[in-house]
Amino acid sequence: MPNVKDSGDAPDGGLVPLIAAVFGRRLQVPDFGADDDFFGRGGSSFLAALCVADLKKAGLRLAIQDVFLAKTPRAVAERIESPQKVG
Amino acid sequence: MGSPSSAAPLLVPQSSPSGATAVDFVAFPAAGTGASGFRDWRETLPADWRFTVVNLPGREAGYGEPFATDMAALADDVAAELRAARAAAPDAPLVLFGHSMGGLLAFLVAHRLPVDGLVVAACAPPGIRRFELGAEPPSDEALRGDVAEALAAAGVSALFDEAGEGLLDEMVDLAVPVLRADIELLTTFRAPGTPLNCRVLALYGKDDPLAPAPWTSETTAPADRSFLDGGHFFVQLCPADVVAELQRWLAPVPEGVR
Repeated sequence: MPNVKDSGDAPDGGLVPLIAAVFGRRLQVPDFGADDDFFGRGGSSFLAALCVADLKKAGLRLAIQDVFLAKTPRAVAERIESPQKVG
Repeated sequence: MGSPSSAAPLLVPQSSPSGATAVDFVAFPAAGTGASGFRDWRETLPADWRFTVVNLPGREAGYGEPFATDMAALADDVAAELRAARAAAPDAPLVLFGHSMGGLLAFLVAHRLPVDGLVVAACAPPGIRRFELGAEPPSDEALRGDVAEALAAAGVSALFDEAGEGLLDEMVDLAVPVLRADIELLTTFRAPGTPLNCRVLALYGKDDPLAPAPWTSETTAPADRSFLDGGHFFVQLCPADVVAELQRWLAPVPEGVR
């Protein structure tokens, strides 16, 4: 289920807001929060791929599977920052 | 056989009317997909319908969890969640809608709790096998071909030519295990020996090579059949046409028909 609480605070001012903005734009959810679940807010594998394409264009290195495993902007950012982290 | 409590729920609520619920509508996606297969339906369904989509284990919100391996046990689990969810609107007519493999699962669920209507789209009746099952599982290569073909048919491939390197391959990599699990799940399907007692509507795409066999022998109530424009994926490509057909079909239902 989408976690709408807590969505405003993003202590890491870098990747998290960028990822949340991309998710929000592709899912047409303008207030997509740092801890919102990608699939809980209507994501699909196709939309995940489009988000990853956008994020790659912004210079990030990630795979579609990172979105599947991490699901929230904050967790995706953590995976990008420590790519060897499992699950 | 029940799901572990930490597993993602099988029922994913999509929308709920602010007032009374006219129809409690539950959709079962086709093989290889998850709840997002019905993403475009939210804006299309009438506002007074409650809309829920089934997301099978191991995909989307449940990514990484084990896949279901027995269709009857899966139907038990879905029926159990559905019974609990029905408590919120117990009097609203319950209509199950299944696309392709989802139709067979919806059919099994309809055998497990009282439903007011079953709609099966692009789904041959239980006696007719769509796949050659049991011999040997399809190769990864064959499944990759199927997935790539489906993505091309949906217009996705074209988008990726411009969007990014390798992403189409990644999508295929993610989809193949799901499709394989669903094909294996289908091999466990066994038709219950008794017919349903709810109305059944079978929808077929005019361009789908699937033979549009009638469902009349699967229920003691009337079974109707309609043909819509499109192929096997008309459910995703033309939701408005499907919803219009559903409304036509449901209109004459007297209250409380079970």
